[in-house]
Amino acid sequence: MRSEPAVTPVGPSLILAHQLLLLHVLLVPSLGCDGRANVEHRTFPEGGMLADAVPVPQVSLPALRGIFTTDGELRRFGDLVSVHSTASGVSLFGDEDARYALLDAGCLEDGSRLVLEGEHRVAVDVDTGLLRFEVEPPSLAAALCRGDADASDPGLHPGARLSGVYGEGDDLPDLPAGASFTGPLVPIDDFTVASHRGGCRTIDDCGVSENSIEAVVSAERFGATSVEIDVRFTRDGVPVLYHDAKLSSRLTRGRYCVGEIANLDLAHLQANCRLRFGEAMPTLEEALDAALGQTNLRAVWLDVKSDQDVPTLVEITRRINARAEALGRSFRVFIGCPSQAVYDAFVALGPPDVPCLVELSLDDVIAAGCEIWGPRYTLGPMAEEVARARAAGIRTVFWTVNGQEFIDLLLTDSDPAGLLTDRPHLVFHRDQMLRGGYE
Amino acid sequence: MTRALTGAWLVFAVTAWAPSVADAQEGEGTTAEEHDGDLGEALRGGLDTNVWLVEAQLGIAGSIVERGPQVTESDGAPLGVLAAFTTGLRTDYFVTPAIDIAYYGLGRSTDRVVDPSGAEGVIDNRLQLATVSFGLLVDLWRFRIRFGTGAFHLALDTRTGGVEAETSRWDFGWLLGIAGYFYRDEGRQLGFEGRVAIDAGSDIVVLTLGLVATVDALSF
Repeated sequence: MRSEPAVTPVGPSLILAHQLLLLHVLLVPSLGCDGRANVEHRTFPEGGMLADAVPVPQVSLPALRGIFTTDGELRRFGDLVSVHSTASGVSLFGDEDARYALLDAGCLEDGSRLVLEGEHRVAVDVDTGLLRFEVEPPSLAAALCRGDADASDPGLHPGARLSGVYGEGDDLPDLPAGASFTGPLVPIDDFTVASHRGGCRTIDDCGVSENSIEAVVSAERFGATSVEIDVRFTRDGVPVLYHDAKLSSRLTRGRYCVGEIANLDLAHLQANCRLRFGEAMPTLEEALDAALGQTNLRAVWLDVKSDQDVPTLVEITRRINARAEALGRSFRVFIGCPSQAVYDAFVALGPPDVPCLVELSLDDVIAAGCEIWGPRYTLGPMAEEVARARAAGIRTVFWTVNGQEFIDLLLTDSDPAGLLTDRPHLVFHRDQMLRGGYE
Repeated sequence: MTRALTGAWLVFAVTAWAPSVADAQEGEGTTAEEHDGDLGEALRGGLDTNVWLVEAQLGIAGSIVERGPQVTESDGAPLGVLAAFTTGLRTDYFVTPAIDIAYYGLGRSTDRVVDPSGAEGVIDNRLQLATVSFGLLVDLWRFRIRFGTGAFHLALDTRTGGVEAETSRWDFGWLLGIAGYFYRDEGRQLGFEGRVAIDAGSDIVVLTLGLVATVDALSF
């Protein structure tokens, strides 16, 4: 005799329909996005107006720096933007949706016009578009193109303006946008904007892969003064830049790019793997050479993954720092101790003769004789501890802070010496807003 | 994606399993009669016993990858053999909990590649995946959906410049499949199955197509 099931009778087809609907709802969006931003980077057709431009004298670009009040469509960046310059061009940073723009500069018509062109991006999303500005008044543009502007001037003179057009998506820019000089940038010499994973996480898609030479070289355009990079060792003992112990298509490409880095020689990696945006996986020395020779970055923070790696990395750090000193560069490589094992291995080498950073307790930093304390931002501002560190001559750099609310909280409540972030442009801008007294 | 798949798996498993569990709690075992039309004479004889599904599959496998280093010349194939064995316990309904053991050849080739310095070199590679997964088979007329999860072992043998290396990784993974049967008779089925195996650790997605033979058998 068969008894009735002790459940509410539900037809099998109804159960299946229910299951398939739930599966569809749960799976389709996730499979579609693959967890990676799908950013379409924009460039002007046929090189835009800058195709026929001549480069702006490098001495002129720093004179474009300042805090500008936005108008027109540029108000999407917020009421104020920080205008930053590097040897590569000019950048605009706003705090509305963590927007930024990376612009190239060029002079037109015998140096009477100075044009800025490039892409803007919503960092918290995937929206991009094109921007074009001209520097006004024309007399200022001409002075900058001649190289006559005073590069030591912390910013443009009152009345100076960026006047131009803004575009969304694929559209050529045609919406009025502008910004007027409001004040100079606050000197950033004593504050560290450290860029996480060499400049930009692969998942954030700035157009370059994390832990690549290209990321390190472009970090300054995003406002970084330093970079943090991750170091792994190949089987034949070569330190390379890579975050994870194991290869995956999250960070690399290549049919045979799988397995553990520690099980493969550099030759296998270079023959089988490219980073997500096509770059070669760099060795540590290649990356440090690039940071030293191709940028004005002040520091590189090595995230040491294993205690066994410490002696080799200390040796490389010592050598690179000696080269920087010989070149007269204000540039230092720091050994980062993120774990007790790495810390113990570092301390066991004796009093440090290379700069070091400890992510453990402040007492550990003091005991090791290191210069920088790197606490997690989730521990909170810890104002008293940060003040105690400052009194002991130790700089505090929180990691890894991306949200504006946390950036502001740390900058106002504990006044750290710097922040490690995936959004250096936002940290740069918020530091300017808060220290500059704009908020 | 892993979180979403886990959620989907839990929802699917719980809703599919509930009626069968309830039956079992009421003293009902799985009986042969409930598989009417699909089983042999012995099963239709009213034996109150469990029925096990046994299945073998042979096919081809390949992985979805984005091109890595520039390959100027290649000798080999980006595809390989799929060999799989599945067994599962038939339930009162169309849902069969099953275990699947599979081997996927994902490519074996000798490639001439351009290294970062621009120089050319030759590299031999062989990539293989072995999986053990647990999941459900859902029968719908002449079709069957497979949904499983389990341990994935991805292994690479590589050689360049006379230097060999082997590396592998264990990961969690997902298995999805859909089969269509063109032959069914007395608990025996023959058809084709397409699978998607997702290695959640390395993010490698494997696609397969295979000939699948399924037999319902008695347990003792």
